[in-house]
Amino acid sequence: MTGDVAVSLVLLAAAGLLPALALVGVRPVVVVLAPLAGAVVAAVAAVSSLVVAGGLIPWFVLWAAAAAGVAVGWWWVRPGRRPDRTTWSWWSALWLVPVVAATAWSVRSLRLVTIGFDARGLWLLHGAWFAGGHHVARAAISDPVLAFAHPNYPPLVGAAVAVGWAVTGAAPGSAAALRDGQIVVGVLNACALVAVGSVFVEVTVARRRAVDGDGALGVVPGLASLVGALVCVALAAGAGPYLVDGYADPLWVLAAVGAVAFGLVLPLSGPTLGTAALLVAVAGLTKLEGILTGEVLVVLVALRYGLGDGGEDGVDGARGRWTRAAAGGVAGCLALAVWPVVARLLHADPDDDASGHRYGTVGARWHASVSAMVPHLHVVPVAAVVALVGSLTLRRVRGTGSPGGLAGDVWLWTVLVWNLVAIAGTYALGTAPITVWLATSVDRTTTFAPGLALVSVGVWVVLGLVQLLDTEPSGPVDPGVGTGPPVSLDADAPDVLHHGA
Amino acid sequence: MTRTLRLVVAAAVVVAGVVLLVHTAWPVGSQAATGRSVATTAATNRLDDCLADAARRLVPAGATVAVDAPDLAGAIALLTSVAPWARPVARADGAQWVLVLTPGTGPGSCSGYVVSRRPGGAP
Repeated sequence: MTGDVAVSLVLLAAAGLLPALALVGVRPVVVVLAPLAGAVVAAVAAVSSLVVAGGLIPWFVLWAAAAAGVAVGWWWVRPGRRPDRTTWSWWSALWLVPVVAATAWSVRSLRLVTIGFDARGLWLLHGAWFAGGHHVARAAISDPVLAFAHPNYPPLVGAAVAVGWAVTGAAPGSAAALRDGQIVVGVLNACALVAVGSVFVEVTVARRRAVDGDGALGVVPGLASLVGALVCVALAAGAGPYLVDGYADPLWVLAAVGAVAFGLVLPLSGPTLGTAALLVAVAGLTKLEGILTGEVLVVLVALRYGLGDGGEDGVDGARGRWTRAAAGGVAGCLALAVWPVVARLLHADPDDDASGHRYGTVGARWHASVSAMVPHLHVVPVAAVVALVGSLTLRRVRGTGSPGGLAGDVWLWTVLVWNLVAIAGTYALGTAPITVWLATSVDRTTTFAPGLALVSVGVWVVLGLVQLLDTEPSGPVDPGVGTGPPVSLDADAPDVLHHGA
Repeated sequence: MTRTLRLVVAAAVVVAGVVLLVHTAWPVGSQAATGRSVATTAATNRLDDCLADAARRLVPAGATVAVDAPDLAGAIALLTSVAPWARPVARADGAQWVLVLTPGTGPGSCSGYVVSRRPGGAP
């Protein structure tokens, strides 16, 4: 069984390695982003098998080869981004150690066989469909008897697990196959968790680079790494048992939280945009909430890019920047919309939570939903106070508005508020009996907002440490007059996230 | 804002943030919140695996199967068990086999339930 899990993860990592390197560059966090990119490849392969014909593995190999080809082509066009021309320090790997250790500790319950109800009845069952190939998957997705398995849910988790099953010959539905699936999903969750935890060291590196070029970083990244580890454990606590029992909820949540951190907190650069894009793809292909949140995320990242927040105009100025922002935003939104359209065209049974007769009025359902959500959101108001105080007093350290500075916290909180309104709205406008629906789901649907709030807090803690340890130059950093190197969005430019020791 | 005040506020932000993070992280450290649910899930897993094993012994892979259970939870448990390798259908007259879940004990039972089969209406 351990061998089968290893085969699954190696296949995913192998398929995702070159695309991840092309998107993110050479840095230690690629080790955890590669399996996630491989899972995206698996999801695209599953959709191809479902829509066109053939088995999952031929499509997986085809799409993995295509992704690798695009990566190599990208390096040919942009030689400055080639892995052999990217530098990184062993310090950056060392700083990741506390985050990895905290994550490993947080998912230690993976040693137990705990396959959740939805994991067996939904997510891993989808894996059985995809492993069976075109005819099996096509028949299942529109079979009303299988409506309990929510065939319209996105394919990433099932596809990622099915790749391993198809190659190792595991019997879908057997106890051994389910156990393999539980571990694979748990490891993907852990990968996303490490990606989130890596953000906090990047905060210190980006800040130093923005104000002081490649100046010495001192002990701050080490402390930031410990903050990242603490945030990882806190996020794991929020996910609860779902982190290790095969549910898809933690994966979309952690991927989306990571996407916000890279796309709407860190200074914009090729690698941060690439990481954000990859994590948005993971979130959007994992759950419907991921699509809903991902669409807003894409729009906001495009808006931030267009506004030049933290960056500078390229050779083609603001007009070119807005053109690229619009193109990227539209492409991202369209890509996220592919699965819902496919599911509709293939007559996937509509979600019974959102179709048919509505129980209760919208107003009563909204009230019940908000009442049920609030107890799970106690972190949010405290984090809001921390963010408010930080925004008023640590703005100079954050560097918002200056080249290479972090984005203002308002971007993150916009996504947070949107998510809460969207979740409450989904319950209110849905049709399923609201009491049962809330009782069986609200603890999972409300983990994204607290996750974002914890990231906001973690960033302010790191910036507070920067202030306390006085590692910043004494003078103010006025917008537009930073002493650091220009933060260019040109992919050939120096890497904003370069880890100077 | 004076430098001293800035430092005091920064210290307050750090302390408040760390306290919040530790408070939130605590359930993972203590396992208090997850231990019970892990045990519950493990018990459910044993029942589901037992039902799946029993169903596999009774019905060949790829067969059309309907389920007959005393309640919705039992029907979904049985459906979930066979769905990865059989073809569930809604009605017994369209199935080759009907899997029946009834309360019972004894050899081969699964946590107080027994799985049996009877022929369906399809050839």
